[in-house]
Amino acid sequence: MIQAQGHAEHGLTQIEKAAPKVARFFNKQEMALLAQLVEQIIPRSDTPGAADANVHYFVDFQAHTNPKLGAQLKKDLAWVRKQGFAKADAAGQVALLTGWSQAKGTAPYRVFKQIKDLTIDGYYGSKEGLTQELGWNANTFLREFKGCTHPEHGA
Amino acid sequence: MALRYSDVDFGGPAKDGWEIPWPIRYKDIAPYYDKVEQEIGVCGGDDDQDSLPGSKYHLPPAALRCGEKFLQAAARRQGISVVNQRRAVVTKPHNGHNPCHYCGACGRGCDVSAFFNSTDYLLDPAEKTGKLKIIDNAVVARILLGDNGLATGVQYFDRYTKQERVIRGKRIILGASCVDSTRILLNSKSAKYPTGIGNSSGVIGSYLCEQVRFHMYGFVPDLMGTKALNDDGIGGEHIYMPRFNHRDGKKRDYLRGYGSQFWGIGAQPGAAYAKQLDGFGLEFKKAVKRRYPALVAMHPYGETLPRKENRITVEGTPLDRYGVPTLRIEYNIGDNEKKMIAEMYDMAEGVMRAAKAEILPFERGWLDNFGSAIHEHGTCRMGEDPRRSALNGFNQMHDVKNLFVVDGSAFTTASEKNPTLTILALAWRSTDYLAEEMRKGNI
Repeated sequence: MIQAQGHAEHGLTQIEKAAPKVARFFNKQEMALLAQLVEQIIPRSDTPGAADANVHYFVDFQAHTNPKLGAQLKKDLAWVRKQGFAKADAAGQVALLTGWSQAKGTAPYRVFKQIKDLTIDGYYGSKEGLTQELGWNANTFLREFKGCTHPEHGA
Repeated sequence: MALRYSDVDFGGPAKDGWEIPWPIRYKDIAPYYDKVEQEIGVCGGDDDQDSLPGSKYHLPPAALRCGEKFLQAAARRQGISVVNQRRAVVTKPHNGHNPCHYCGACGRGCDVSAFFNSTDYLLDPAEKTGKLKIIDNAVVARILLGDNGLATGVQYFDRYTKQERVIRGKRIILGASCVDSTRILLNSKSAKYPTGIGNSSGVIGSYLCEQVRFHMYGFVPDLMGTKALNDDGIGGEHIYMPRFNHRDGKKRDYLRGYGSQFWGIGAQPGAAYAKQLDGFGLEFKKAVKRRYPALVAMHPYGETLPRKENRITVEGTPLDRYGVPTLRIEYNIGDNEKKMIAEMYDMAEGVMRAAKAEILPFERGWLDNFGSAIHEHGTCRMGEDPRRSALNGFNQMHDVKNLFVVDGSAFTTASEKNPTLTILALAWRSTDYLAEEMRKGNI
């Protein structure tokens, strides 16, 4: 289930939570691995990828503020390293992620899904993900709200 | 959201016999809806329904977003009316309030007070009369009872110094919101009212009713891959589905009804739906972007019946920092709600399918947390019969004539609607009654 948005809450929550560019929880090695992971999940295209958007710092900040999550992620990253992810080439990394992502209900899938969900929160809440990739252009001041101007919509 | 209740709501319990009837009908409150709407400014359409009375005081409604148009048309094809939202946002200058500038950040408090809030809209003008004194950071603990059976004042604690204070008054109006008002009443014990002030009926604390709700998301194919628009509008949704299940003449195996809200349609500041799309990598990134402008949402709300066992109590609970008992809530839904929820899921899925939407996976029967609608009602309910209700139809206590309770706790039933407009209208009506009673020398 999508997290229930409360009472028509609206705002830039994720952007506000954007992490400072200093790792607070993970060590250098873990941060490098995390950067590889998030970039494979949402890679650079004609718009920035997750590592460009510093999503690994976002994940680090989440871990920093939530000790239980942090401890879990530390274990998960160690497991990912053991699978040879950090040393694999791009094709090898994709192959590993593909395997985990298709093994629903297993421990590898849980590891993949948790990192993927954090990547989604971080990336689509970042300036790069939200404005450059998705094209969000709201939270501004308008004299008039025109709404849908397409006569064919909902016809 | 500023929705008028109708006689489908006020007349519900009298018709189906579940618990006590409301002591008022729409005609009693209609003039007060008018007054409230003129005071605070409510935008909305003239597309009234028998379950959603209209108003000649509505400010212009907000234009619909693309996704809202698709859902409205889809619902129409299912025989269900989806109307313009009625919301306490001023869409043109009103009573000295600047109009909405569509920045979408309503939930954080409006910079120009284009969105109703009690501080700007009620306390400010009240203070200007020179007859209001606000004592802030005063945490009310109990209402005090005099030997004459009337309320004589309020005991409170200073939030910072924790010092106990008492303020006396000839008339006391309680509006601490449903749950906390109930706690205050139950904690106001005396020899005359050992289970809380004005509780000779024993109903105070019981019959807590909230609403059941869930969320369904999808993507309209016609909007996939289009350019994202600025969909902020007046913050929440610009459409509403009023209750309709009483109309088709179909015999149902449950009582009462449901409607639907639609917040979160169109370009949002985030893409949580992406968590429900499979895969990763460039294809995944494309799939998320394609769906971004096409997001539609439904949030059906259903009425929960008042039940004695759904209750707030203060017996044997931990004390708060001032030494006052905290409250405990016991709450569950029953078969009636479960049957209604099954139909609500069918309805929502039907509308989504009629919009040809790609529906995000959902678990049929899943409900959001009890209490998450934040529409609590019923724990100090109004009614004709003093043995089964705590207040009369003017929010006045049957037992303690100079004590009024004017929040959601006074409601006899919950309905499926947001209660704020009705709370305001009932409070205004109650105050007029109080003024009249004072003129007559009765209170």
